Amino acid sequence: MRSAAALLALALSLPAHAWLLPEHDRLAAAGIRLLGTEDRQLLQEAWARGLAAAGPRFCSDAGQELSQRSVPDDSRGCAGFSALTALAGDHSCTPDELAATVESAPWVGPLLLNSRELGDLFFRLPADDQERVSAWREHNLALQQIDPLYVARAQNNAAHFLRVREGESTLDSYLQGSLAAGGKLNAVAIYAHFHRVALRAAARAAPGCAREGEAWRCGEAAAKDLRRALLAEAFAEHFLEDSFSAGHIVGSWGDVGQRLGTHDYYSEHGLDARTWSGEIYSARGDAFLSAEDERRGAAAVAESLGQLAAALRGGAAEGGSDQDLLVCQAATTVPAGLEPSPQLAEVVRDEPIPVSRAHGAPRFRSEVGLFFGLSLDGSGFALLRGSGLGYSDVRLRLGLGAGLALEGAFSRFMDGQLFVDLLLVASMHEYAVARRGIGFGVRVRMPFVVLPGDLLYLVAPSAIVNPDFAYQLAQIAVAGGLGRLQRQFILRKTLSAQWMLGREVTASWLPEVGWTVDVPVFQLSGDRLFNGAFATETVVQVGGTLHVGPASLLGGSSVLGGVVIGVSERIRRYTPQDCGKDCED
Amino acid sequence: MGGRAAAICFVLASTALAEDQSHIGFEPTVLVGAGGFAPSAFMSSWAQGERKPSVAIHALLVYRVFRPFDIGLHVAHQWLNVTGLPDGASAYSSAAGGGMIVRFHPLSLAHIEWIDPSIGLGADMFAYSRQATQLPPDLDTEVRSAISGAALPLVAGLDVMVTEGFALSASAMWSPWFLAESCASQGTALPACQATSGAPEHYFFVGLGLRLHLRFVS
Repeated sequence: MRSAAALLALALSLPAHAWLLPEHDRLAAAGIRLLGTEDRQLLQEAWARGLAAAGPRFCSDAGQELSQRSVPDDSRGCAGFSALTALAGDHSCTPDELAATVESAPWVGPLLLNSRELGDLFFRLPADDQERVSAWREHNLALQQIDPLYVARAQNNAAHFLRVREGESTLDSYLQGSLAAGGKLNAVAIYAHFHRVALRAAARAAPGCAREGEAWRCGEAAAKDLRRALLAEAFAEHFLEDSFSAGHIVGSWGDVGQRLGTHDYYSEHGLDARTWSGEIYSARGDAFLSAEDERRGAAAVAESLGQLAAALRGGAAEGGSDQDLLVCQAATTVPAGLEPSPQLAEVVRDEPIPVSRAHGAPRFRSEVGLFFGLSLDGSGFALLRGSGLGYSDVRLRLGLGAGLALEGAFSRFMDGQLFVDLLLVASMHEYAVARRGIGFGVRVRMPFVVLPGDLLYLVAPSAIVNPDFAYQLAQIAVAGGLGRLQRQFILRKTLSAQWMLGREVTASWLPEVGWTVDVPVFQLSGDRLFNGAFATETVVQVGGTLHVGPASLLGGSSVLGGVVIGVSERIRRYTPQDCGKDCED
Repeated sequence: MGGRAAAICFVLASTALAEDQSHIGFEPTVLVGAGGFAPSAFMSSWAQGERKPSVAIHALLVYRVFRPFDIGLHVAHQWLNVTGLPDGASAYSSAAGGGMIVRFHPLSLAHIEWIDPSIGLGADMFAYSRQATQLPPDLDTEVRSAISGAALPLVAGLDVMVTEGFALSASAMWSPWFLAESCASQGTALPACQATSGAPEHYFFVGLGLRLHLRFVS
């Protein structure tokens, strides 16, 4: 029980995600391209002295995007400035950790390669192409495999969101609220903090660097300040970029199902957004970056980098704390000393205005949590005897049960349902030969890692000793088991196919007829409708069946095998989830 | 030549699968027509008299998964006309079945909508026929007979659009019946059943009807 609770808590604590790594990279790279020639040269000089000198893991060109050139394979990749903005926050909790990640994390090469390949695919596809959803799911799962701390870092994912408006109608009043000391960490506050850290470090570095001919020369202290400035700015810009995601301007409150569902819905379907500067456009979000999102996000990045360039020229910087914020920790709050400024407003003014809690956008839900289930299905089986037909029947089954859905906790189109249904079974034989045709049954569904049921005898006990390991195993199970052999293939927006041998079994008993055990092998599921409380889906299954019954019925044999096909409508009614402070925050 | 044909088919299939959602959804069809079993020694012997073709109703509730494919349920009820009974006897006989069906709509690949031929294969996992024979008044008893098994219907259909979402439908079906069991009882006795096997029997049906295309919110 304790192990199950630990696993459940871990699985349900995973919140929404953010722009995908190649999207962050693309946004920032586009921003760098918007810089004027002088600013860009200045950025390149700072990059060369501050970071590129640290080793080959940093590209020599600050503006280098993820590409075949920068990441030819998983052992020879390098990160440009734009990749740093992508690695910040999601794959590191502070600027120093960001540097350490790039310089020494063994997984950064595979991560960059995976992201480059995802980008190659993503940016060829239209925004509404379902292959994007498929690629998004694969990337999500890959991230959790490649970066061992990815899930742990995501515990404070709300920090990547804009604070919802509490009635503020001007940018200044909104910034006041977002930057108030002690408040909940949010994307604007994190950007403001690290951008100022970057500007101060750049201003400190400026006197220590001098142009000698074509090249810059910087002292040791100045080079350190340049490094600090670039890392802090990259870190800040990750959160600046997140502020343009539709999934991040609709707020993050409610239970985990609501937070995930709302984020994912608006990221995919978009939202009519209005910026603080008064422009209206359609914003999309994570995994669905549009050209318009890119244009607007890049402009903000360019404005921010322009301010960094001004500081590198020796411009004055505002005071404040240089202390790092641990953005991955839920206990971290907005630090003291942050206040709205014209510089900040200049960057933020083109961000979408976040929704208000009272009159904001409708909330959606992801299929995560405990549910009660109702199912109605018709299935037919044919038992084979020698080369002929031994027995056949069509049955209607009404099921009532309960279970747990983990679909959205890992990604989408996952096989994350665990449930038990008690069945009332009606046989069509009642009509043919007046044989008693009412019986009972039970259906169990559970994903597995290697062997059917190992979620119970392998994963759950592991959760007591090592919840993170158990989480990894559970993720493998939900993602299709070892080797992903039983993953769902996304055929269309609400249609998927799956090999599923061992994931579900239905046993039913009828008087005079005996036991029938159905084991579906292939499943087609679709037409899912989910309104936040109820979920319905239609499932077609084909599989094998084993029947144990009287020999007189089965032509002299008491056990026969055969094939079964069935179609069912499955309804899930979700129960309220305990979300603590998140219900309000 | 074959490669070129395959490429054309692939392109057509790709465009069909990349369609908008308007052709996806439930399509119920109800057909009324005539059907029955092809004569055979077994079909003449499992109950008294001869069962001649008569009226039948077939219903399909399929889901158009992609424009060229649908999958769904098939149910049928067939009345049978019993002849050749002893004087004074009467009988009611019928057949029924249910299962799943998959159909292919070839012209959908070419985005032709006004006419929609289809071919399909089903698996009626339960298919039975029964007869209640009221023996002559001097015997004053009833004999109930039933045979059951499974059928694999082959279906050819032709739908002609009348208006959006509504089509006239014609269908022909031929279906081998694989028998598994036969039962009989008389009066108030419980049925006595026995395993039955052998060559499949053959069922046929032709009918006309209506098809709807339903769409629901998603």
